[in-house]
Amino acid sequence: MSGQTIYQRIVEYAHKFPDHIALVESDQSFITYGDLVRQSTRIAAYLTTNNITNGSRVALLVPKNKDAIVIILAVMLCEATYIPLDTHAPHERTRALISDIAPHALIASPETFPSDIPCQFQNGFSTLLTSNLGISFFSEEKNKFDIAQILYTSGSTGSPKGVCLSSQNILHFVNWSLNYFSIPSQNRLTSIAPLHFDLSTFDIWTGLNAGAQILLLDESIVKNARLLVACMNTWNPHIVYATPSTWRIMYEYGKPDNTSFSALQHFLFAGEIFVPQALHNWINILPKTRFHNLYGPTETNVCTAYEIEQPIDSERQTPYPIGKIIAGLEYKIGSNEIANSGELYISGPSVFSGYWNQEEKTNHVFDFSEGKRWYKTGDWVREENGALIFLGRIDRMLKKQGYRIEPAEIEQCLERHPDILEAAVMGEKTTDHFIILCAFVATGKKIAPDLSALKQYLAQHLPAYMIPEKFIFSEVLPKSSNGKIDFQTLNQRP
Amino acid sequence: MNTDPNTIRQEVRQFIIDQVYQGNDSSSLTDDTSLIRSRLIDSIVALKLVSHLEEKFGIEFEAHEVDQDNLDTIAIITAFVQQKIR
Repeated sequence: MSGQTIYQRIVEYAHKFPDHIALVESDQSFITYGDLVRQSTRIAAYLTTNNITNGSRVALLVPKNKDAIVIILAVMLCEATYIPLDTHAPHERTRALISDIAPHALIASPETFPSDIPCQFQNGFSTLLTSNLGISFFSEEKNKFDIAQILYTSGSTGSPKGVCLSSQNILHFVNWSLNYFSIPSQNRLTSIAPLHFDLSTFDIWTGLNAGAQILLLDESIVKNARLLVACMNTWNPHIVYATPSTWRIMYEYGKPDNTSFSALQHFLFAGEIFVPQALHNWINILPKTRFHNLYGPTETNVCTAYEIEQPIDSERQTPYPIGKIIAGLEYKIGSNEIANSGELYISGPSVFSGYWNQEEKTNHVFDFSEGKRWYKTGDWVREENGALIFLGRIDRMLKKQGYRIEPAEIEQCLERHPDILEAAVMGEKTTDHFIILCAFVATGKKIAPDLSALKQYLAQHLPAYMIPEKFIFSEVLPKSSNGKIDFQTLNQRP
Repeated sequence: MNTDPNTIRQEVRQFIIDQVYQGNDSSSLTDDTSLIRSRLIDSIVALKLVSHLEEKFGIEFEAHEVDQDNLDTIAIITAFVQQKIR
């Protein structure tokens, strides 16, 4: 099995069980494995005649539905690169990403596509699909390396960076997860994370390689905890993979009852720390479920895993370990060790090849030693009793609702506002243990901008999750002796 | 239960001032200020607001009603809650 590609396995499964359900939408419409392969083959043929081949880049600005997965499979079949973009991102950001990608093809909904991005949608593409999507072709230079997927993540220099993942990278993770969770065919899975988020690799590719049935949920449902729990009650899934924030919101605001998740075998979480008390709420109501903490940046996908031991210590305050390195990968703790802790380095077949168009940044995150290429995660860890424990970041990167956020992106955006002199953004824990963004904004002698207008300004440039929840305005920001913003003082304010 | 629309409006307004403005000037917040579409409140605050109103006024939102169409301004929320109380 290991020699096959993700696509070949889906074809093989479809050959054996063409009528098995593959993908389901929240309105109960579905597509079978047989149709998934037939439709994607037809689209792949269309793409090939339009010169989409090995090394072509296909940018997707499409809602998460059956068609989106059919299209991605077609791109895979062409051995081209797919780049899923956030359909809810502001136009300015989308425009910048499309210009960074320089795609050979762009697939989007022509009605909602920003008219200021030059684009010529071809007639006839939507007849291959059930939803109304258009395709536009461009002539650009092809990739020189195998890139299956580019996922954009927040960048510390102020603009997003594209993480290039090869088909081998994805396959290694998929193989590990198939083996680790041994998912029976036709198990019910869910896709909660958006396609531009790495959690979706498990939901979609591990799911389809297991022959599972996957419920695709779009953002309008995921954001409404009650609707999300209602969907889960109907679907009754066997495996669910979500960020701790999503799990918490489901528990605290979604009103699960004693029948919710009654078939759940594996409860998976990743992307941020799960506060033990909040995790225990779930453990207490799901006695038959196994709970797994998965850890790994987009650059490596999951690289460590930890299963929560039961019975739990309900008094536990310290977060659970991120666990042991997964099969096939290696780790080491970087040389800047303080008290048995240091930066986590990862090497092995799931480690990405580099950032798209960013050679300097790529060189900066790799360490070549012991004849291996190590990705420096920027995560500070300690090893205890054979398990790794996450301690924090070595830089300013933040995690909010599982999203990676470089404060510099928000600060630079705030500082472009005419009434703002300078800004500093930090993470803050609320009384109910959620992480929020707190922006310290200096306006000099000017009056602080109106909060509602300022948030609208940010929403034009940044994704919703990057808009700070809290603003503290002042004339100036505290500075250290070398003239830089003094984050320590900001952090220690009452 | 006091179903006076002013009581409901004041309750919603105070919740947004406490949760969102947090001591900053809120004088521009009117009954018609867009809350969700303009990103003044995010989805978690919207869920908290719904829970708060349910508790305060003894009402219940259906899953599909926790939607920006019913929650986008103080005026819309007030009218929606009032109709629920009746």
